[in-house]
Amino acid sequence: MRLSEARARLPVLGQLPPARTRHLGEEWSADAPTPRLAVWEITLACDQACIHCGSRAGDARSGELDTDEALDLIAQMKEIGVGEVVLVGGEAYLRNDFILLVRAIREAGMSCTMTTGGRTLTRKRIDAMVEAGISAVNLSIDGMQAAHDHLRGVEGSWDAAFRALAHLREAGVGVSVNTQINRLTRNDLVPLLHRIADAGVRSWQLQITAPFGNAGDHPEILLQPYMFPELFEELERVADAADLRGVRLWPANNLGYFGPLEARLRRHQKRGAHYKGCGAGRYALGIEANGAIKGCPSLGGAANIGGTIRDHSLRQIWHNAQQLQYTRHRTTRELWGRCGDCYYADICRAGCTATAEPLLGRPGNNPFCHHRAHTLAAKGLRERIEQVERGPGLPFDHGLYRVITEWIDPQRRASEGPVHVEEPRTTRLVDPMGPGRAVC
Amino acid sequence: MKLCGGCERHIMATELRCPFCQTAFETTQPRRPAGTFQILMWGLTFALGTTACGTVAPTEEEPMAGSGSSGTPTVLTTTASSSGSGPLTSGPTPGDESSTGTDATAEDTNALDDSNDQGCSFYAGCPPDDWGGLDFECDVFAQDCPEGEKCMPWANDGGDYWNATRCSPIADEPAQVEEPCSVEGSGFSGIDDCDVGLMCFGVDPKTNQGHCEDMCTGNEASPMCGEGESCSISGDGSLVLCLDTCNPLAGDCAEGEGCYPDEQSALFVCMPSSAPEAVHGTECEYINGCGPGQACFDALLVGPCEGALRCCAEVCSVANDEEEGVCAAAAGTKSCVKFYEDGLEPPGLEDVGYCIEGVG
Repeated sequence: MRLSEARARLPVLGQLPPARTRHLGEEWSADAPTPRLAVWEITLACDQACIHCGSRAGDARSGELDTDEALDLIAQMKEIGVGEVVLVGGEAYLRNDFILLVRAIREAGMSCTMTTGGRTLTRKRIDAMVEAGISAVNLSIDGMQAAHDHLRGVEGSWDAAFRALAHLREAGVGVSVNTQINRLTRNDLVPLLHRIADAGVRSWQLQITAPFGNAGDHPEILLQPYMFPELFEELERVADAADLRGVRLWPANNLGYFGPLEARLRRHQKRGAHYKGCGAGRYALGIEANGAIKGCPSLGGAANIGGTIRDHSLRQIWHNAQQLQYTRHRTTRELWGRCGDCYYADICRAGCTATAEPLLGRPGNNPFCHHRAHTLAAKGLRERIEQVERGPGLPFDHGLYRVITEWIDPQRRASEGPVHVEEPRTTRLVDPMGPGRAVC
Repeated sequence: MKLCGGCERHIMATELRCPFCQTAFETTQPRRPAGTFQILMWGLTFALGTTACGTVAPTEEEPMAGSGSSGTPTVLTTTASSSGSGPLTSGPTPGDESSTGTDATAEDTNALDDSNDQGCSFYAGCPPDDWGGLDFECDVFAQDCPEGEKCMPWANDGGDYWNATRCSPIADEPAQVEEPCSVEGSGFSGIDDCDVGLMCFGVDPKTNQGHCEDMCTGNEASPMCGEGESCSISGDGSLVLCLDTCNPLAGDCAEGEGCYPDEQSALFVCMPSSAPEAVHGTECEYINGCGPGQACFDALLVGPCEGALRCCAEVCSVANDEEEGVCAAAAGTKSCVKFYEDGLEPPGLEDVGYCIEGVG
């Protein structure tokens, strides 16, 4: 279907119904919470070739939902109480019924947002999105031009993203920017802040590159845990500059946790100004382009996919699938390594599941943590990750890493070797709950 | 959790000393009222107390997982939710999960969720600034709005319950503290003609007129007010007002105000009475939902108040408890029950009691 045809098929409505949002609108129970936010990969087709792409996007996924199935899924999302649907890809706009789906989501009374790299997000497409009722767009810009284009695998990608940004703003679409922090971008943050502020952006999401999908195959771009104290010093400078430029920082779920900058970074985001644990399977759900339902939008595979809407209703999967129960029922007994002994264990629960699990094979231990790095540094220690095994090359797959504790002092590190080595552990398919067992 | 004023780290609400920088916190526990009385009374308000810090050398040791370093965990048993709309109500103190009735060590991650929290996952972006989702646009303590604006509490849903903060313009010739003021729209709009750091409070909904009241300074962990005032934090942490402390037996608040208990300080503060005509036994929902000489208690404690969750009870003096007629207006009440535990009364408030069933 061509864009013009999709637009012609849109019902003519003077006003769309008021949209629900990801904010909770009604009470929910611990056993069957209401998913407030659905992140929906509507296609894996992509116009970029990102070396850090978690879903290894490029070609469309085999067996993607057709339009009728997608519209039925929208009705099911509405029925179970979803407030906001985030369209992602691949590139969501490459699906030929994209505009129709935006409109259907909005007509169902849900907010419809999109996260995009924006490489071929033309003004024509944007106008159609606006007409269909898009609620907001989150644009991915990873560092300054050299880093971004390298990470995106396409020369000119950075310029294209800023063109899309300008078009979105001209069209009156609310825009935020998200940026992955990794070894290529960590020194670009302040200049990028000024660049996006100049472009009119007032909302900036920061997250670290997590080791799943393509990113897991590139240990050379991943931050090392020992870099976190220095990173947060840089983030403090970023926060100072952001205050001056009127840009609000939004640390994503995998940037934390509980270090000396926590309150400042999260004061506009979380009541109490602190991270509160992984929301996957509790208020967020993920949908793959073939109708597979999972708790975390950034994790895949048998341990995370609870079923497909071709076999079961969304309600059935959300309420009953064992794979979606993990974050609803986990306790501190699921923590291991340093996270098990952490002061913040009961609240943090090892931070972002989509960062911890791909690194070490199972969630419950997460060295990408400011508090942890800060505490270790005070003892003269640091942590380093080392790749043990590459992933098989599937969307949202992961390899395995180990965590090595060693002395900060190079001479002592060289002479005494590792202080401790934390090997990866059994998957949740083998040990569904608990701390798991070392696999190496 | 709460923020340590010494090092800005989050610490468990039950900590009496920061495990990271050793800042000491003055507990409000000794000044809380006694036994069952305490639990049912404070269920209406907050759990987080005022803090006073004395910073000493930082420690580099990792505190124990989920531990409170010392002292007794804060008891908070609510009889009902304190959220909802109303003229002046209180909700969970920001940063203090225990104030929602959640045990800090409870193994229920869902209890930590907050409907207003804004999660940003890897793929689900955070909101643009012009698309809602921002409940706390600015810090009412720090007054960190751009020049010419001030940070104000407001009701971002158009309701009558402060639930957010916003930057709003400062009037050309702003009114000063205690001076008459007016609001735009309603008392919950966040827009008034008081100066920065002040808020038009006690607003008459018919005239939109009130008086300028000081907002607290300092920070959430260590709020500060002037002499004779206490920082009252309510409206989900958006409303931070310096209110005059008072003695409910002295009737020393202004006309139209009552002397009501304040959880932050465990003292009494003057607030506008939202139900000035209420009598003993009248149903109430908010801490200021009773007459000037009353306070709102769990219905179980207040004699003839069947079918309600909370009811107003008359203030009385325990010094006069043996005298005839002390609690005469409170039909069915056996005695005047002391508000504070023996030996823990703030100076001048030793005799404060309420006409309730003698429990605790």
